[in-house]
Amino acid sequence: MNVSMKIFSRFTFGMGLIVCLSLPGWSQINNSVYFMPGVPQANRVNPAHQPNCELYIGFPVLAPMRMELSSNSLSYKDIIYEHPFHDSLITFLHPEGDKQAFLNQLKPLNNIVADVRASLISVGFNTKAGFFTFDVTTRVDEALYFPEDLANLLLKGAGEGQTYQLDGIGANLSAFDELSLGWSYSILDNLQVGVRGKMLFGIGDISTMRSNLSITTSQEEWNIQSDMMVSASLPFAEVIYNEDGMIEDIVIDEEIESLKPFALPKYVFNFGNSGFAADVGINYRPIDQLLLSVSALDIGFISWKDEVHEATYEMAYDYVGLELDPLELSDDFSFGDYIDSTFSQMGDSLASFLEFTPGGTYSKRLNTKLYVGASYFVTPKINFGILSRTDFLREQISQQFTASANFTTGRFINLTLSYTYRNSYVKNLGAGFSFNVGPLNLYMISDNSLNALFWPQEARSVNLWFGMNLVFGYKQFQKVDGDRPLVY
Amino acid sequence: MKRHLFYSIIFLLVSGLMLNSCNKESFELNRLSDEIELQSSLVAPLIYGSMMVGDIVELVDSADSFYEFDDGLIYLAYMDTLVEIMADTMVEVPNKLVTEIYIDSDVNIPVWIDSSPGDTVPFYKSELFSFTLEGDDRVDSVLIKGGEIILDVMSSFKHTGVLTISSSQILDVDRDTFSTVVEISDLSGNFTDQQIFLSDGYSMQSTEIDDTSYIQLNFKLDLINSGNPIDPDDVCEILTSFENLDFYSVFGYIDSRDLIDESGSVDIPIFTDNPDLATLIFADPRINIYTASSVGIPFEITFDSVIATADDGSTEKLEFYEGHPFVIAAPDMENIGSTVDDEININKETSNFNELLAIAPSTLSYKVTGRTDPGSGDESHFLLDTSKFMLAMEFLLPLDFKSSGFALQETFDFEVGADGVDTTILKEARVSVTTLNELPIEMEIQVYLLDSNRTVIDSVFEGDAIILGASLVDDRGILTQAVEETTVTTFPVEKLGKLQEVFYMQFEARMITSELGGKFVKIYSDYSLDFKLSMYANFRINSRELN
Repeated sequence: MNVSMKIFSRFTFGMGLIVCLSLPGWSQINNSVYFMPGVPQANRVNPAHQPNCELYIGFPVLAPMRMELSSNSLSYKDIIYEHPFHDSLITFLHPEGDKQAFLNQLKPLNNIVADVRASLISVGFNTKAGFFTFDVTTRVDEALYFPEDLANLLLKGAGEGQTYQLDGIGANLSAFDELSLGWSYSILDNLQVGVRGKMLFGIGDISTMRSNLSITTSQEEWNIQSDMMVSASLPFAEVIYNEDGMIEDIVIDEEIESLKPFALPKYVFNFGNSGFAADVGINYRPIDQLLLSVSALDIGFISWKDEVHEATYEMAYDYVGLELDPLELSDDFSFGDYIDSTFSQMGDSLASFLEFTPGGTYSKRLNTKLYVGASYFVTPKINFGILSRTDFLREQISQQFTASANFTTGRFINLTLSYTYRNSYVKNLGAGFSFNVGPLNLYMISDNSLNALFWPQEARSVNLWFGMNLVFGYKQFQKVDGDRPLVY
Repeated sequence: MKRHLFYSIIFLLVSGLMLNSCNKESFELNRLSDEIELQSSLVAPLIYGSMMVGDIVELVDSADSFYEFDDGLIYLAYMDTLVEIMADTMVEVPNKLVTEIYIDSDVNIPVWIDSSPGDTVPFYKSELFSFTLEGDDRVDSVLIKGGEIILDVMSSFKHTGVLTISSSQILDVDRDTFSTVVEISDLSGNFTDQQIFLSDGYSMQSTEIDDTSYIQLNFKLDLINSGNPIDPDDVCEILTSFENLDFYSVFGYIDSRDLIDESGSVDIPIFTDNPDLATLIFADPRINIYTASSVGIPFEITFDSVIATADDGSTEKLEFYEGHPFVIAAPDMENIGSTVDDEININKETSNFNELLAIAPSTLSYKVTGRTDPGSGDESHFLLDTSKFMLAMEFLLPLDFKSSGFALQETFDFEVGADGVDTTILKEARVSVTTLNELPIEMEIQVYLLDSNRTVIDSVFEGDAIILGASLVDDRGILTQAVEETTVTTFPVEKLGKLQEVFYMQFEARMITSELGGKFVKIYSDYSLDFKLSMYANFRINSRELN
């Protein structure tokens, strides 16, 4: 294995490590939980929400276990489907696959987003001063971006006079621990506010800080414009540079590389990469039947300082062909030698634009989310809600809308059915339930569980929120004109 | 109510699961084909460059036969030095002059007889000695190089005295008149003495008397009467010798004589290598005769026979229409020491030179004779020891020509390699060749692919050869506008597959000068041929066809 392959494999390992830190479960906030009664961790979505109990204690790892994997453009059936003539499955890259159909599905900038969260500690309790929550969560936020033109370039090739805008290409992978303390308080009978402060401890990060890349192709000239910058914090690896300032090797912590147990704990709660964030929320009930709410999550940042490395690739490169002086060719210097030599020089030239800078710091904000919701209580046991969710990603703003019908039978069972419009896909039917048996609370919610059942090939996202708590001091829901809302 | 709701939910879930069972096969990834195929195209510039005519000529000119004029016009020339003679082979200057005189009993003149002992009585004598060359040559002066002047004096007079020898025609290195004194101090009558003067830098200026050049030596003997008698046999003998003479310069008149009789031949390989070039019509082909003379004597050169011979044995003799024989200029007295260069052009106006070219000669044989002073009437000649006469001939073809068609062919080694082009991936390539041609020559190019036996297996360009248009020229044949051409050549997969068998490429170019060969065009060294190759390629990559 040559050096570059070695570095690549170790880099891949590092990336994989960050991704794997998301285990034991893929999870992310889903929308259906916003209106879901009987779920203590619903206050994760709106800090103003006060669970309907005096005390809850989440089961480690399972309180909650959440997963989401989504793409803003592609579904399973865009990639894998039945062979038109034979009894087999094919990908869109198969000779009988429809590459154009694949391309038609793409947006100018496509993403694959996965969020991973596992709560080690999740505790909430009610006091006269309000409802307090304390959570310790390990999070991994992952987003891969690829522009439509990248797929065009790979699948159709470089066309005459075409400009391929590859702006936004890149990846953002962050793994960090979140230690949060939340507080919710009823200021008025019909107004609750909540806030959650978070201390963040970065485990590792790779962020595409700037991503401006375009390639114009023609028979006359290839023009490459690049202004790329990637920053990384890799506390679990030692990056070794050569005299030219290029990466010579990446040495992963041996214990990590050999996947020894107890290797990870020394990288958690890393004060070298610290940050702060806050969640805020408001519930307002202008009339008894109507509840309006707003919450903003993950307003904050992490300052990455530990084992930081920065790579920039800034250039404006015009390739007009290899300059050849045929008169220089000889028996001792053939055309093949010339091509080898020139490509080598060109490679060196292109590589010369790549600069690595060890050290330094950078800050990276979290992907902030804004929820705006309204629910109408037809009866104390039934309400209908609508919710707007806006995700402020690094390269994009993602918008979703959810409508839901929520039912409660009291303590024993709570149900929700939801419909979500997201990623230009209209068939997201979700459902959730929450059971309480004695102090044991168990819930499972998804925004698209039903369409995963009915149209699994079309699903562009999969999410599931599963949790298990011990709940004490459960309060019977009040009458609709009582003091407490049903779902908060 | 609770029960209804609960059952409704269960119903929905069960229904979904049942429906899902219908889609289950879509997730049976063990049925997934691993075949992947990409069909894409690629446009890209490949190579570009520029070739200057001067650089091309320099590369192919292994025989060192191409040159360029000051204005950059390229010409082809084959040169030979016909004659190179030095001055010392033209005129034989005597290296030894001797004269002997005696002062004898003639001294018994009344003055001596009347003198008393102790009196000094002078006696005078002059001697002319001739300084002749050959024939009617005349020497006016000579600047001596090396040698000695040796004076041997013997006196049998029983008197002492002083002998003074001088000549106003001999100047020493300080340009003073030559004069020397010999003290005769011996009364015994056995006096002898010898004086030697290094004569390097001395000069002699002769006097012409009756077509003969003379140098006069003067002798004065101051004899001091010792009281002894003078016997009839008493004599003072003076032997004057100029030994080992050479000269820096000789001035005078060198009579007409035959000096040159040379023959030889000049090889002209260009036509041997490319017989088709005989179809070129050159605007100004020449045989240039170059002379360089620092000899102060005019020459006349005669080419007795200049014969062109082709490889097929045919011959053509050069006939001069005018100006022959050639009189070669010489430096005059105002330009002693300088070299006069002269050039004589034998061209199609002054000779039948075009007829020689028409047979595509491979050699040009010649016989040349030459003589001095072809009767110019000027009798003031000079020779320096460094004087030299050189005669060279140049067969010269300025690249100012026209042609309605000539062809060049060359074969190059060309191996793509044992693996050839991977036609499992590359299905078609279209190569676009764009040229910007400053050469006033239209080129019809075809490239053949040859196997190891040099058998043609295909041509690069389908059907007709590609044509690079000629540039535009003015009435003088000088470039006014380059011509850009773009040619697209398609290489289908079948042809790409043959590249594996190719060992050689045979390049053939049929060329026509601008305006269909109707106009003379000039080829300058700074003319260039810019080229740019770009590619449009279709690829099909199938995972199952890859090795």
